[in-house]
Amino acid sequence: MLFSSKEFILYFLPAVWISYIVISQFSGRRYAKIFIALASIVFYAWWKLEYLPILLISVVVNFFLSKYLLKNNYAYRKSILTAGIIFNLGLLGYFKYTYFIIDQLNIHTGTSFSFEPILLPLAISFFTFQQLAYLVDAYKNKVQPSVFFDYLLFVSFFPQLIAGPIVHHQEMMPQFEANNKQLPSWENLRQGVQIFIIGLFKKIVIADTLAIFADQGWAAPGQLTFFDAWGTTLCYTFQLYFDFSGYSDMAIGAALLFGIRLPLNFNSPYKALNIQDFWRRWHMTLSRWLRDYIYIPLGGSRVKEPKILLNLVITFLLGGIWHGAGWTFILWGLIHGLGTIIHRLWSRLKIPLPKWSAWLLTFVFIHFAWVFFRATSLEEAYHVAQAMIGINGVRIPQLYTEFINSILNYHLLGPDVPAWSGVIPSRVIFYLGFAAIIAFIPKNSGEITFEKPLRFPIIAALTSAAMILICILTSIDAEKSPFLYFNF
Amino acid sequence: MNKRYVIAFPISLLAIFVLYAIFFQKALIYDQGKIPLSYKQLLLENTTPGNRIIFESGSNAHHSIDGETLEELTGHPVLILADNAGVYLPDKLSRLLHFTKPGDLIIMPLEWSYYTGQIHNEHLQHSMSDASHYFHSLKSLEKLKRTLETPISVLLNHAIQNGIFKKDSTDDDIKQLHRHIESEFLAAPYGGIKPDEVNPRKADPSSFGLSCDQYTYLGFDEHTPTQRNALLLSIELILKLKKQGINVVLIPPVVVGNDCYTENRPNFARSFAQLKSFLTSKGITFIGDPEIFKMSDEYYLDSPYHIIPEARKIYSIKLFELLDHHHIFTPGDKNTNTKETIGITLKQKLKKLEDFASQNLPPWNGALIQTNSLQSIPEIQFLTGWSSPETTHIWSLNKSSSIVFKPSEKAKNMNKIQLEANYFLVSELTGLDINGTPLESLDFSINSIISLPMPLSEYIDAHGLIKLTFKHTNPQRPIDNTDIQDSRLLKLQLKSISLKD
Repeated sequence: MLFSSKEFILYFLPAVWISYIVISQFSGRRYAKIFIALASIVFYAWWKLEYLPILLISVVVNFFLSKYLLKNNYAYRKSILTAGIIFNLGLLGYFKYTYFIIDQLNIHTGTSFSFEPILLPLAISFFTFQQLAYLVDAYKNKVQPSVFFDYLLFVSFFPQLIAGPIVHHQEMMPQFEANNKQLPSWENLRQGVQIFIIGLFKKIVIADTLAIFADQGWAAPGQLTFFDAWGTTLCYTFQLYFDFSGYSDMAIGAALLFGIRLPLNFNSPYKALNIQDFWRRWHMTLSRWLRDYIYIPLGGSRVKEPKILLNLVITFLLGGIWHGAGWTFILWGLIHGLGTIIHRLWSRLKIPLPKWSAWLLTFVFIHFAWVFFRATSLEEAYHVAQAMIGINGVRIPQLYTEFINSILNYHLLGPDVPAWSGVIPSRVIFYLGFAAIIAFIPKNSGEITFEKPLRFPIIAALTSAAMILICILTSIDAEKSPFLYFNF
Repeated sequence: MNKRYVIAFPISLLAIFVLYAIFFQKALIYDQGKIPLSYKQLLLENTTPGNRIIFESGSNAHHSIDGETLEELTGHPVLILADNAGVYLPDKLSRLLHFTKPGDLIIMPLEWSYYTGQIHNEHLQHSMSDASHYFHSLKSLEKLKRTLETPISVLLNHAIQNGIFKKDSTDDDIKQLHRHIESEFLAAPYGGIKPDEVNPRKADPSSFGLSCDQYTYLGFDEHTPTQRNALLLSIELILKLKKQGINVVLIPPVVVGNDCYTENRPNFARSFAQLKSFLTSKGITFIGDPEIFKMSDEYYLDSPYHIIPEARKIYSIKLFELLDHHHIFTPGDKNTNTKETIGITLKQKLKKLEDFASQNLPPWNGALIQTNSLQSIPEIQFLTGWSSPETTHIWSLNKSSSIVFKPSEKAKNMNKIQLEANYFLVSELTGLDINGTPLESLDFSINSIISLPMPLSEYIDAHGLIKLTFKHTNPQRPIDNTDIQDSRLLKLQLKSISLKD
């Protein structure tokens, strides 16, 4: 059940929300929490029932391990923590990396181990990281003991279960405690509805439309030339942002209807002025996780400079690997690690770049790096990267040669066949322009929803209603595509 | 403020949807003009309901029905509404519900794709403009549903191509329609395919790319319940028609090709049997076996669903025999003549349009008007007997062509009219009369520019109008004399017109 699907918006969410309110009013907090935990399990099982045992095993094992970790006088706490980390990484590794590792082993050592690719259980990267953090926090006595259904709710709360935001136990569960028998506040309702609709609009109107163009280009990377390659990759750059931030907005919005404030996951990342700034704005809860549970334990910035640089590379490399098993993700992580090092060294020189050039440089760097993130193989990534720097030639789509020739009143440019067969380049430019304006200029969804008290509620309500209408009209003939981060 | 938003949101949602529905229906959908935008619709609206035989389907029937033969055999007026298999079947049936009366007989040789037909964006867009009669035939609730089922891409394409707030037919539209409807009537009075619409024949059916079975694949037994939605809706509408006393008969479509229904015969047979039993169980009449309407390669035009014009009569007789055998036809009237009836109606319609258009003409100062600007110059109204303007000229159609204009005060004192024209193939004099008074004949074969003495003030009618009627001797059809598949009767190629002192 996608957040953007009719089933979720018209049936699941309203039914669960109304039931939650009724139960919390008449039966109290405890039963309401149990209800929502069970509803979350149904939500997860809806995707594929076969995934459910994996989630439940992971929850049960981690819950029992945490019981021991929370006992201060227990002698084997460290061993339990180690066991917990091994269990979680083992589970993630088995499903996510085994095939890749065996495949590489066969390629590089000549072995012929046979291992069929395993279908990756939905959300495994997210719920594993969330529980790893919980174990570490339990070990450090940062969390309070909880009962099983509370823990189940913490891991499986449906707004954030599938693709985050990755939350800490201590930032989410106390909110459920505070909500005892309270009706949802007007503020939560307003913010929840508003940000949910913004997210829906981002996903359906922008991301899914750009996906059509991006997928067409990426379907034949070897045929791309300069303009096609930039068009294709820019479409993906914006698709990814609007898809994932749209999802996060919807998650935050849905959670707010239950009175739960999830942390923001995006803060206009494409407005970033350097790579470090970008990572403070992109997938913020993953960045926070990597910082708190990898970078800082490695020594963070308290060690000598070469070690700091190494720590940065390791952190980004692991961030890349978290996204998927493949050389492209490894390279993508390394590119970002390297970019961060260059930025750190440049900062030391204290030669500030003009703001616009810092922004442009950062955006182009991030954009190039997404090529490796999107490509299914290194070869594919090289093809596209080559095309982007003009090595595969420069072709102007026929539509524009005709236009330019008509302006010049002379046949200066020869016609050519557009690489995007069936796509009108004007549509690509229109949607890219629209996406770029939204990403670069106005306030983002978080700022619009949370920053200031609402000043013009009627205009805001009308805008939200109009956005819903546009979403409906756009989705009629659109392909229903899952969120990109469901793959991770 | 938060509370206000939460309360205002559902109200806004309702308001936005209502406003959008109004905008969609008032600003985007073409109005039903003074004259239907299609000849087939004109036929449907202007023939007396109650005893007609109406063929409704896709291009298969558009290509294959011989209206004249069937009219002779049955004694009933025959209307061929079939156009394109991309048109949503429930829309076709909703239109029929709107324009038929008890006693009418609807025959549907539906292409197999109709049985799982989905609504296509092309149809949605078409039904907002030139085929808006489909939209206007829907019931209010269906219209509302359609409003919310039309994708934004269709809306944008429509708005870009056709603009918004396209109200009643404008003067320019009337000019276009005039020629369009008239030429359709002359070329295909029953609504079937016009000779110039027929594609060049492909000698080899294999050049189509798909085998007949791939193209006409039924696969009814494999369809999911959602794929049946359009069919279920269509069945509901057919039953409504039947309830109103309108007989609806489904038959297999004509297919052309020796290999049709052979490639995967057991599957096709099973699938067809299931379709037939499904339809019959719902109370729908389905007559005939697909094999009856299978024609051999020699009748192949350009696809397995299109027969060559020469085969129309053969097919139509076969069709008559089948339906007659099942006693589908009621006794007819041997004097039925749709061509004549619709001809009279059309003339009356066109006359009304002419009156409307001429009375709304802006005054013309007599300045030179060249044919390439005729479409955009409102001062001259081209009445009956003209084809669509081309880049450098406009062709006369048939034996008589008229134009009308309203001279400005200054132009009323002018004494000459200058015409520039050529002839098609045969050079014979062109007769001319002005507001009914004959003038001397014109001969454009010697000089293509003729300046004719004509003191306008003497001829102006009570409305201040001048109507020129050209009489053409011996017009010719390009199809009879050249390789061009054009069946229009052409003679005068008018290039420019102006008034002189």
